[in-house]
Amino acid sequence: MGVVSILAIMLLLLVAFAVVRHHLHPQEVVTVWFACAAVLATAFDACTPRNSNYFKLSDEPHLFLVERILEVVMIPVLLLLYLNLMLWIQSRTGKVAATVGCYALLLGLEALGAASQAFCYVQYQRWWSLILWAVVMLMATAIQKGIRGLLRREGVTI
Amino acid sequence: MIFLPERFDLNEWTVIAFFLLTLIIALRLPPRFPLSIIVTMAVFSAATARIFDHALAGPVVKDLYDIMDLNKIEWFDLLTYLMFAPPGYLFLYAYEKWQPKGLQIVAFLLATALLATGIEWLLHLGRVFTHKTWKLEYSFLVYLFVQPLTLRLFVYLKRYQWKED
Repeated sequence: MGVVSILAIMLLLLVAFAVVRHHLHPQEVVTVWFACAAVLATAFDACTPRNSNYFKLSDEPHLFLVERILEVVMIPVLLLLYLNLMLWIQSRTGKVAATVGCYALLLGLEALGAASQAFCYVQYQRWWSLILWAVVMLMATAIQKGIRGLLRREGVTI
Repeated sequence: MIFLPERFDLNEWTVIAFFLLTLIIALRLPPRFPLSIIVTMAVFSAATARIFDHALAGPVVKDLYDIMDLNKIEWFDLLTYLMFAPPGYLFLYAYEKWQPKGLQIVAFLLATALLATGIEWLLHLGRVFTHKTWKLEYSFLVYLFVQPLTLRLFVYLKRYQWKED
C-alpha cells in the first residue's frame, strides 16, 4: 500500500510539474533539482549505519528503489512546484499558505516513506525533521534566488 | 555524521592535485559561456556523480567499489564529487571550441569517454577509487551515457538563453 501510494504521488507530482505554467527558468529547474537531490542523497547516506545509526534502509530492492525515488525525484519536484508557486502567488497570505503546505507535504512524504518501510528510524529523533525540512526549503529557495540573480545580471529576462 | 580521513596520504593528495589542476586549467581559459550556465552545468556534473554513486550503493549490487579510505561517507568523498565539475566544464569548453557536427559528435564523445576512463584509471592508481567487483569498462559505459546527456542539456540551455535574448 505504502509503495503504491508513493509511486502514485510521484507520478502525480511529475504530471503536475509538466502541466503547470512555468515561472522558473530551465536553469533554475536544473540547478535546484540536481543540487537538492545530491544534498539529500548525501544527508541520507550520512544517516545510515555506515556513518551513523540514525535510520536504516530496507534491504528489499523495491523498497530501496522507493527511498531513492523519494530523494532524487519526489522531494526535488515538490520543492520546484513550491518555488514555482511562490513566483506566481502575489499575496503574502498566499505565500505563507504555500510555505506551510509544502512543509507539511515534505513531512508527509517522510512519514509515508517510513510507513512503507523504505527506511526505519533507529536513533533518529522525529523532531529533527521539523528543522531538516525547513533547512531544505531554505536551501532550495536560496539556490533558486542565486541563479535568478545571476541570470538577471547577465541580462536574461525571466 | 561525515568522517575525516583516517590518514592524509596518497589518495587525499591525488584528489587535491586533480581538483586544483583541472580548476586552474578551467580558470585560465578565456570564458566562452555565461557564469549562470557554468554554475548550472557544474552543479549538474557534480550532482550526477553523487546520484550515480548513491544509486549504485544498494541491496541489489553490493560492494562495487570504495571511494577513499573508508567504506563510509567522509569529507574527501564529497570533494571527489566536486572534482567532476571542472572536467565537466572542460568537456563543454572543448565541445564549444571544436563544434563537432554529425558523426564528429560520436567521435568526440568516444574520445572524451576514453579520456575520462583513462583519468579514472589514474585516480584508481592514486587509490581514490578502489574497485572491487566494478570494472573500468563499466565506467566507460557510464561516461558514454552521462556525457551525451550533459551535452544535450548544455545545448538546450544555451539555445533557450539565445531564444530569450
